[in-house]
Amino acid sequence: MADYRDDEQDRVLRRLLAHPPLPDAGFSERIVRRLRRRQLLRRFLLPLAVLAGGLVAVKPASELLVAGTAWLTRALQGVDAVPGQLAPLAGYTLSGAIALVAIAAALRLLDD
Amino acid sequence: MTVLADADDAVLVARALSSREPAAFGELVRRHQSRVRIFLLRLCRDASRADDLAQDCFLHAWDKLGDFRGDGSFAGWLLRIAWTTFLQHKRRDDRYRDVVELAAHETDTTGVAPVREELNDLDRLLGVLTEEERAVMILSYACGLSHREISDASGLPVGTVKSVIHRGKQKIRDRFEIENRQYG
Repeated sequence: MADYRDDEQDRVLRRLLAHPPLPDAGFSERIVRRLRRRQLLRRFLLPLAVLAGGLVAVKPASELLVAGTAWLTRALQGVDAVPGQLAPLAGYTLSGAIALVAIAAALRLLDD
Repeated sequence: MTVLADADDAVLVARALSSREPAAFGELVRRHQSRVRIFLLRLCRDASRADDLAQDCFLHAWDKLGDFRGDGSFAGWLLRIAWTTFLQHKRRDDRYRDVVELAAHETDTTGVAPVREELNDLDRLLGVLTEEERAVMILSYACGLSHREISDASGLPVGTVKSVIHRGKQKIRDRFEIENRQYG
């Protein structure tokens, strides 16, 4: 227990501050129940929140994707290295890649 | 269940971390709840409040279980969480009390001083110590922790723990000698 030599004051302090061990009396069971409830909530709430958020965001996100693709296509048509016919395809690819990166980053954040 | 009861703390931590199943953690709670609750009870002197804080402490411990490196005792690590939980709640309560006292002061027109609660010997004894000294003394004398474990729990170096205990004892001795001279 104490790694020093006891003197009279140590013994008095120990006697005054001592407390008999507290019985568990369901305390640890309550903690485990709360943890299980929390785990259950997290397991269902997170996917539900993602689903609800996804449903709300689907329309503006698709509009943003279309607008972004159009803007990128226009921008790429001005670049000499990209042939004229390939510009729309490159625009779609680039905006798709940006959307994928954004989704991956969001999922990583949610996972954390 | 017997397997869990026989396993040592580090094994239970590893099991709780690998499965994220609270059963192994429940065994750790069962093993250490008494010490944590007594520590908090002695600090805040209110059994139901101490139990609420102990519950918060164990929930924090579950969230931070991955931070336990196993280089000190699990009890020390757990009591450190209990200590920070107590301090966080106390800070919040102090802010709340300040607001309430300010409001009471503004509305109190009777001029009657508030009635002071009766203090027992233990309160008077611990009352001469700072918060940190009180925590260290409780960990030593009420929870029976070694200096090394108190160092884990308080975040103080072992040498500082020894000097805090020495200073605490000195303060208590001085205070009670003065009282004995006054009333004895």
